[in-house]
Amino acid sequence: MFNKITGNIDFIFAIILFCIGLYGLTVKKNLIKKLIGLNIMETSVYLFFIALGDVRLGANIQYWGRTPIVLDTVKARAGIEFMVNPVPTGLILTAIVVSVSITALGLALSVKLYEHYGTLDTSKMKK
Amino acid sequence: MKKLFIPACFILLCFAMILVVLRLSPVGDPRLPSYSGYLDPKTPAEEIVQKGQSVALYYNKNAVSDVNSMNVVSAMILDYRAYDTLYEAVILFTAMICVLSVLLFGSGNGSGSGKDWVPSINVMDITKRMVPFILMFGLYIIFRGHLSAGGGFQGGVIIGAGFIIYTIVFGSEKAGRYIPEGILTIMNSLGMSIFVCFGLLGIITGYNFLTNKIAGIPPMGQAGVLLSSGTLLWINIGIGMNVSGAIIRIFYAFQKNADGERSNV
Repeated sequence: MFNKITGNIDFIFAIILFCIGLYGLTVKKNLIKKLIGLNIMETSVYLFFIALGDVRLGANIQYWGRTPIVLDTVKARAGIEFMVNPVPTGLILTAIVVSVSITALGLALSVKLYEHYGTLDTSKMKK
Repeated sequence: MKKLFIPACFILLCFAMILVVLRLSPVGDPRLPSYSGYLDPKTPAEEIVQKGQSVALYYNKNAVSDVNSMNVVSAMILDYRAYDTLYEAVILFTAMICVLSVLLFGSGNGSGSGKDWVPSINVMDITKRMVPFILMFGLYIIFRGHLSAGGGFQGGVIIGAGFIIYTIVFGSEKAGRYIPEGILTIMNSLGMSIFVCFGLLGIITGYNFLTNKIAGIPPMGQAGVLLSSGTLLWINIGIGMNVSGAIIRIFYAFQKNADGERSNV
């Protein structure tokens, strides 16, 4: 059990961050705090994906996966250069751009809502 | 009691999700099907990387010979899956248009100077000295996107941050003299046009949309030098223009809205 926890510590931290972000998104009443919660949730998903893409071949640090930037073409072709999985990294690049767009749009809508209602509190907006 | 009920629910949810996550194989296991395609647990790890048949290992081995790019992630998102990245850039473009139409609708015609505080002389001095280096670093990140870590999105955001810090310290009136709204519009549209035009070059030469090395798009030199990897260089420049323009315009829109508020009060 202890072995499992230390081996999956990245995933566990991602889940804890996800729950913190979900708490902020659903329970907090301030719109800005909701957006911060959404961003924390997105960050946890990035962490989860990057941890999924990590590769460690054995205990020797020499065989742990590097950043996917080729240093030696011949070695890379033969598969001797040990690089991490590049697919999650590319996916997360897309996710970051989407997250920035969502945050910008959410903040713009919050500004307009504040101008109209005079408050950022969602429970007061209903009245 | 009632106050503790909702946090307790979230802690329970957290524990349930952790129990699920503990059933995954540990972080860094090379025998994951997404990395190796090997499912025999007795294979040595080095052999998995050499003989594995997954798409990730294909990218790692063939990015240099297929695309002439040293950065595997750049090769993947700008060549193998470039169509996806095109719409990623469109998302940012659309978000910028939405923010502008939301913020500048109605009371957004501010006439203030965009500056209601005077920063200390140290802040102004350091900003004045740092901004050229920030912009230079952003350009470096954009132009070396196919050689080292970086690319159009990252470099564009750095350039946008450089202009944003200048606008915060010196006010939008002075910053608008260096980079007016018209230039930003041209930057956005030109960036997207560069992306689409270099995609269409593949069709003109008789291949598919966004074909790169087979179509022989111009700077196809030796892998590892600056002028190599064909469309990757041009697409990085286009995305950099689009992203930096979008970031600066979004910031300007917020600033203009705040100015309008201030002048109305």
